[in-house]
Order: sequence, then C-alpha cells, then structure tokens
Amino acid sequence: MKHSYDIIVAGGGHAGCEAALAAARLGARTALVTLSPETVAQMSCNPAIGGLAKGQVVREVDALGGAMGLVADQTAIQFRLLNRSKGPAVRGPRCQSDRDAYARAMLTRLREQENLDIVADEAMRVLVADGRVCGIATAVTGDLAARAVILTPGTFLNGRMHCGERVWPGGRVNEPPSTALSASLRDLGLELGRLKTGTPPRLDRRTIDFDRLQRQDGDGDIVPFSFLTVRLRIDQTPCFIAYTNERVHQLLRDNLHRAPLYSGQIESTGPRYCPSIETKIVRFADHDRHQVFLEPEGRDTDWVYANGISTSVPADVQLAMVRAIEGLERAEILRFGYAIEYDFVPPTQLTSDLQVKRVPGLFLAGQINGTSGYEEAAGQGLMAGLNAARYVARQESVVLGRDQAYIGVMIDDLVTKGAEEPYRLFTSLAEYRLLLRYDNADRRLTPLGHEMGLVDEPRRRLLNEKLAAMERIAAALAACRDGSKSFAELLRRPEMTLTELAGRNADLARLTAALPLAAEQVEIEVKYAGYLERQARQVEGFRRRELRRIPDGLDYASVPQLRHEAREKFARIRPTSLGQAARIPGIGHSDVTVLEIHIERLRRRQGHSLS
Amino acid sequence: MICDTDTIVAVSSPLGSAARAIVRLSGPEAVRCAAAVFVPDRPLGDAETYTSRNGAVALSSGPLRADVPASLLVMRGPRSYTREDVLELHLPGSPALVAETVARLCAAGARPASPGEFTARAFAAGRLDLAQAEAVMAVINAAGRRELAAASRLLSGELSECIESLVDRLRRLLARAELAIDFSDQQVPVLSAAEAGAEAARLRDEVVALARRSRDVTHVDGDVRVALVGRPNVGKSSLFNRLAGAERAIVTEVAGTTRDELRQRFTIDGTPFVLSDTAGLTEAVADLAPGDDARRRLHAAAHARTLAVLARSELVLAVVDAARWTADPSSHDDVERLLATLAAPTVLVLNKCDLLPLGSGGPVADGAVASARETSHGAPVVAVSARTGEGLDALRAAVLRTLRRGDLDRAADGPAVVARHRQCMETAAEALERATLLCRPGDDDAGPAPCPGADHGEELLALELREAIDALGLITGRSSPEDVLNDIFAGFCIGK
Repeated sequence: MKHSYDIIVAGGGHAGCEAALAAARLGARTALVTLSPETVAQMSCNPAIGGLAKGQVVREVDALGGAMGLVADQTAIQFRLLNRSKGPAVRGPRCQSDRDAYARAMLTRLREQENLDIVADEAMRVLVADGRVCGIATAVTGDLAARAVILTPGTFLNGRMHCGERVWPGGRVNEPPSTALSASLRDLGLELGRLKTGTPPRLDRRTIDFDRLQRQDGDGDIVPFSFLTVRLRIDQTPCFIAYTNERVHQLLRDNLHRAPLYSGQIESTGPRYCPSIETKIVRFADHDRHQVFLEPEGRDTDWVYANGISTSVPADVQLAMVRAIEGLERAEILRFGYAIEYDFVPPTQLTSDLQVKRVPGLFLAGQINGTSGYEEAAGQGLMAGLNAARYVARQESVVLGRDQAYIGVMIDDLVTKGAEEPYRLFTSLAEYRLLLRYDNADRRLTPLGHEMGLVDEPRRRLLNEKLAAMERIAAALAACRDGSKSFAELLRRPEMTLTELAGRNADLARLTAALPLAAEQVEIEVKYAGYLERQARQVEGFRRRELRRIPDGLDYASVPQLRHEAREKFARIRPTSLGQAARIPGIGHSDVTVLEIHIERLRRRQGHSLS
Repeated sequence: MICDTDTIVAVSSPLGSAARAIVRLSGPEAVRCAAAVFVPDRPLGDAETYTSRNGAVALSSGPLRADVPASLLVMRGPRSYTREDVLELHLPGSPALVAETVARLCAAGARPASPGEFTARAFAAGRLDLAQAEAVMAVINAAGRRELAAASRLLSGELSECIESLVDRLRRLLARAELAIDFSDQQVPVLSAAEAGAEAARLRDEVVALARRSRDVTHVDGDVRVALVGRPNVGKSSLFNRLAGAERAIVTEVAGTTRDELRQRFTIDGTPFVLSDTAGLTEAVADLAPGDDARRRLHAAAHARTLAVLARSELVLAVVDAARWTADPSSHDDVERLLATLAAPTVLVLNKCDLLPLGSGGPVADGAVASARETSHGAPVVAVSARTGEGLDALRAAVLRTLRRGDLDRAADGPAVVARHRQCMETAAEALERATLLCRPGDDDAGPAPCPGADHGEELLALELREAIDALGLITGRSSPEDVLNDIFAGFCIGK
C-alpha cells in the first residue's frame, strides 16, 4: 500500500465505484477508501437498475466507458424496456438485479483495475493545505496524501435511522455512520443540510403465496444496458404485484402517532416521488389500494423486496400491515423497513465539474449532493472521477451540456438550483428530451469519452461501425422507391415500419439485419425527423447562451445597476455562462442583460489595455 | 441576449396626444419587414443610407384597414445606431394604428424588442463608449421595470386572469402527459388521445379569442388612466360626471352607492384620459353587524377592486370633503396614509367647497388648501365644487401639470407590450393547433408522423404544450419543469 495518491475516493457506493474506475482508467494513481470492501456497490434500496430517465443515464455512463451498464447486464435476472408502447425518446431500459452478484461483479472490476488500490478504512477528515485539498485523515492507516479527493459517502454522512420509536446512528443496517466527516466538512466552511429517505420491509420468499398475486414477467426480447452487450440470453425471474387494502390503511391510521414521520421524530425532507406508505394513505386518503411490487433480490436468495410500502412505522405494525395484504398472510419479514436521515451538502456550493467552490481539489458525488438513485450517483461519480483526474493533470474540466446528456441536465440542475428534496431524474426535466434517447447515448457521448481517454478502442470502433451502417441504411432508404415516393418518405407514415420496408428490398434487408441497433436508430430519427430539427434549433439558441462565458471570480458588487436580489444570487451560485445565469430561479431577463453588458464592458476595457 | 442578430421592432415615440408616432426596426430583415406595411413612392430596395421615402402605411386586411400617409427613414448598417440596417417609420400617432402596424411587422418576421434592446445593440456594436455603459444598464433596468409595470397595467383584471387560468390548464394537461410518460409503470389515470385533443383544441380556441380581445386593450391604452379615490360620499361620482362631461355615475346621498369601477374617456387640451370612479375606501367592513355576511362580502369585494384600479392607474385624484377636512384634519389619516403609499402621481382634491363658510373662493377655503398642502406629501392641492363646477379648470390644469412633471414614457410601452403579448399568444395558438393535430387519429399525411408504436406521442404533445406555456409564460412569468412536477406530486399518488 502506498501512502500517497493522485486521487482518493472515499466511499464505495455506486458513485464511488465509477469515480474510482474512471480516475484510474485515466492513469491517475487512485485509492478507494471504504469501511468494508465486502459491501461496495450495495443496492440499499430496491434491487433494480435503470428505468425512465435512469435507464438513459446508465447508457450514458456506459457510453463514457463506465461500469454500471456492463455489471448490470452481467447480473440481471429480469429485463424490461419501460414505455415500450410510447415514443422511443421516453423509453427506458430497466432490469431486476441479483443484488449480491452485482456487488461481487463490481468488486471484481475494482480489483482488476490498474492504478487502483482498495483501502479498508474510514475517512475521518479532509486535509487542506494552502487552500487546496492535500489528502484525507483515516481512522486506522493515518494520513493519506492526495492531490484530489472525491467524497461519495451516500447516506452514511451523520446517518440516523428510524424504525418506530427506535432511533439509532447508522449508515445502513448494521453499519455505523460517518460522523467525523460531517464535522470536517463544516470546518471547511461548507453548509450542510439534511434529507430523509426510506426502505420497505424485505420478505421471505418461502412465506409468500405467489398463486394469489399478479405475475409480471420480463420482456421477450431483451434490451441490455451496455452498447458492448451484443446479445444477452438469461433465464428471467418474474416479479409479482400485490395490493394494499382498507384494512392495511386503517391499521396505519390507527398507528400514525407511532410513525416517526408523523410524531415529529423525523424532521428532514423525503422524496415526494417515493413517499412512504403512511404518507400515501394520509395524502391520498381517497385511494382504496396501492400497488406493492414484490421484487426478488437475486436468483439464489429468499429475500424479496416489497417495493411500494417503504415505511418507518414500528416493527409490530409493519408485520401486521404486511400480513393484512392478500397473498402475504403468512409472510415473514427478514428485515424491517426503516427511514434514514443524513447530511448532504446543498449542491449550489459546487461548480459544474462537481468541485467544491471554496476547496479546490475536493469533489463530491452522489447522495452527498442531494440526489437519490444508483444511476444518478453513478453518473456523478464518473464525472467527478473524470474531472478530478483532469484537475490533477491541470487540464480544463469537462461539463456535459443539458443538450448532451441526462447527466448534464442533472448536474446543471443541482449546481444551479440546489436540492430541496432528494433529487432524481425524470425525462420531463430534460428540455431536449427527444435528443437524449437511450438508443443514441453512444453517438452523443462515446466520441467525447474517447477523446478524454475514458473509452477504449474497441468501443470507439463499435460506434464507428454503427455510424457507417446508419449511413448505408439511410442512403438505401433514400434510394429505394415505391412509385413516386422514396422509402424514407414512406417510413414517415405512422403505421409504416423499417421491417416492413426491408421485406420489400433485399439490399435494405441485408443492411438492417447486419446491425439492428443502427437500423433502430435510423428508423427513430426518420420518424422523429421534423421534431428533431426543431429541437436542434432550440439547442442552437441554448448553446449560444452557454458560450457566453462569465469571467471567473467576477465581483458582482462592482456591477452597477444590478438588482440586490440578482446580485446576491449571482454571487452565491457564480454561474459560468449567461445561459446558466438565466436559469437561476428568480432571475429575470433584464438582470441577465445588465450582466451581459457589464461583461462586454470588461472585455473591451481589457482589449484597450492590451493594445 | 445582445448577441442575437434577428430583426427587432419597437415603438420609439411617446403616444397619446402626439401627432406622429415612430416605429423603429433594426436588423438584417428590417427592409423586408417594412415592405409588409409600407408602400413607398419609389422602390425601397435601392434606398441609400440617410434617405427617406414618402408613401403610405397600407393595412388592407385584418381587423383594422387603413391607408394613411407615412414616411420611412432608412439608415443602412454599419452607419447606423446599431450598425445594422435601422428603419424608422413615421406615421400618424393613433395607438390602434401603431399597434396594428407593429403586429404586422411581427407577422413579417420582426420580433418585438426587449426592454432596452436597441440601446444594448448599439453598445454591443461599439456605438457607445465605456463611460456610457453604466447609463445603458440603467436604461435597461428601468425599461425592464417599466415594461413590467406596463404589463401589469395592461394585464390587470380580466386579461391577466384569463392568461393565468389558461397557463394553469395547459400545465394541468402537460402534467397529465408527463404523468403518462414518467410514471407509466404506476397506477395513474390514462390520458386518452381524444381527451387530450379536445382539451388542446379548447385551449387553442381560447388563446385565439384572447389574442383577438387583447386588440381592444390597445385602444384604451393610449389613454392616461386616472382614478378617483376617497372615502364614501365625498362626491367622487359627481366629480366623475363633471370631468367626464356625462351623467354616467349614479349620484345619491347614500354613502357607498358606487360599487363597481366606472370608466369614461375624456380629454384635456387634446390629451386623452380614461377616468375610473371607484367605490369609497372604507375601513368600515369590520364595523358591520356580525351577521351581515352578504354585505360584508360585498364591501370586501368592492374594496379589493378599488385597490386593483389604483394599482394600474397612472394618476390618482384623492378626493376629500373640504368641510370635514377643515373641521378635523386628523380624521383623514387614512387618506394621508394612502397618499404616502401610492406610486402614481396624485392630486389632492378638496371637494364640496361651496358648502364651506364664505364659499369656495373665501378665506376658509384658502386656509383649508394651505393646511392640506402640509400633509399632502408634495401632491398639488385643488379646491373644487363638483356641484357648481367651481375650481374644475384649476383641477384640469393641475392634472396636466402633474402628468408633465411625472414621466409619461409609459405611453410608448403600451402598444409595444401589447404587440409582444399578442405575438406570444399567436405562438401559443400555433403550438396548440399542432397539439390538436397530433391527437387526431388516422390522419395520414396531416402533420408529422407520430412515433413507431406510440400511444399517441405524449412526448410530442408535451413538446407542443411546453412551447405554448413558454410563450404565454413570457407574459405572466415563466413556468419551469419543476412546476409541472409539483403539479404531478400534488395531484397524483406517485411512488413505489
């Protein structure tokens, strides 16, 4: 073991793994510091990867050479493409995972990665010298020197768990929290906030009466995550759907005074898109039932995740509630649901490369930035790893635009608007949703990943082949005619498909069969044609505004005529472009114009002094 | 953003009593746009810089038909204020004509200029030196505020309520579409194409109707808005009738006869005004008998309306009873407070002077005026008798003086703001038209194709709805994606 690194990543969750892998792949000497290497890449919440918007993120991580997509493909037990019946821009791949297999596969990757050490220790303090990060202090090993530090502590930061009246410090079941690190961040002058999330009870598969539940199978044709996974054949495991009922609701109502969320025991904000069952019955009292998805946690395990009844009511109420559900009358709970409150760093304190504004060299990723979700964490982790490596190499940081990736949308939202509740991605948050599809993530990001050194040659070659095939298919569509219309024109009709057209022309059939992914993308782009052009025009305007840079360290107090509120907000967020400035809540058109003129004035004054 | 290089248009002269108005264009398409409304006596294309063309503004279709003499001044870039082609159209100063002209120029491809945009472009083009930059920023800041004020004046009352309720409904429809996309794996109500299409069509029709109605607002807006305000039974309605020269307001001796806002146009030396009479300001709501809820509500509603009228007035005539004022000036603390808080310039009117001892011209009246000046926060004080007409000329003169002292640049904002708003509404209506088409089943060659396998392309519907919301949002303030998510979380049980 060395005691000096280029980059230290503290925390082995989904953000930490991608950060460490990315940094090491870029050649930085990297250490991943985690309390117990056996519990890296845990799915503390549901045993699934992907979904709407999240599936796109997994593909983006993959397109940039990240690990999540490959590991998910390798360890999945069921695949479903969500929104299959809707437009391709809003479809999202999702899989049920074998929880333990996933964690093991990720650990193997970490162990095999060159330039990466795994250090079993606790990060206690961030070390700073001359205003820059210089390493971390650990509990056992002592001080570890580093030129950049990435913190990915997840819910461990000052974590406090609740199950009924019982409250105890912890980061996950049977794992202690990290309290020292919170204090260290406060000492560095960072403001901390507090968020809440929760989990449902885990049930014993052997005690569930599956015959009385609704079965949900995986897709016939699997859409994998990774662009490298050409074909995937697995035995798929079904999920099951149960429903709560009036008895369940009455039971919860009768015990609300014992629910930490309603007794005042929990004060922080939880996610509105993922409310506990007690919150659902209070807020939507008119609903007579709620869905409960029973998701197996793996192939060879009896653990079943009861998605939909996340709760922190006391254990006796949880058991009674579960057993009041049809099909679960005999169910045993293997682990009771709990809520957890944890510290986070309101992310407006970061720049767009996920670096802490006031501590150069310190990067944050994942739940510490107020997000929730494995995919969101992985996306940030990868970008933090990339940018930390570039920081160490004194290269300019890389920021993905809102027009390039969901990862870009997410990070821009975080650093510009902050997080009032645990942040997760939705497709509706992406202005240029039609461009940010799961099918074209490679086209959007792999060239950039290659340029940065994250993506290896085979992956880049694969994309080049796909692009070439797309060109050939598009040319064939333009050339083939049926009467007065080209195949491309025919394909624009709603009911027409590429498969049908391929049936009419042998050349086209051969081309589409050779690379189905290329054919799929051509078809999507032909169908969306007019809309894609409209979005492309919107993106042009967006890019123009993003290119208008605001000088680093601009003294907003010296900008005359700026409204007080605008001055205060600009000074706090420190937007990097006029586009970002305009996205800050409460900022108006004339605020941005005043700022723009001031910048123009500075530019001209500098021009004078140069000449 | 001043790096934009499209063609902008704005009214650059004050309106109202002005004989001529100036509409200014800047940008590469300025000449082409001008050709849409202006018929020159000689071809425009070869007009050299700093030359003018005589001709006519010809509006041959649409709600307003006109063919009026006008002239066009051509300043070719780079030898112009903005270094772009700049055109100035000089035409008769009728607010309706000017507004319609601006609307046609927009239809031809010009964009209504943002506040201060001409100046900003001149700065960006290097026309203004560094020392002037601060002044430019001040102009833009002020122009931004002024436009906001102008917009709220235009939009107060019915129009703004309509737009807000339209945006609300658009957001609700969008929330349903987004719900179907982002939460399709949960138990959420389905949005059928028929339902979405019907609502989109209804919204389209209402936006179109509103755009049509907003035209009428223009006509009123060339006028200066004056409000009469004061306690009940101080003679506001009599004064209203005197100034407006018509017996429109019902005058009784019963305090609180006027409940609604009454409006009437009149002119002073050619300056057009629109005068609003209001219900008497009273704090007596609390004094009403506890059981009298209907009356209490009536009072409260009238009071709220009066405050709304005041908010959008550009001049306020605060009326007090001269006799009561003289007897006990402290009894008018509420009027004093009002004078201190009003943003608009104010004239304090001592009415019923004929009832003072020795009449309106006597020493008692003079004393009342003098004492009123001490507490009027600088507002001019005039003694009048609405019953006899005494002092009315002095009041008219005071009104004109006060207006000239105050800044009247609002007049130029009116039609420009309306043009911007109308363009926003048209953009919204077009997007809603496309949304309606999207939801129509089986129309093969009509419009763009929905996607393979799409239910009915919620993501495309959402794109159009967002465009409509963004366009209307330029009028009433933006709606962000988070707002839509808020609607979803508030209205639907989400979450596994």
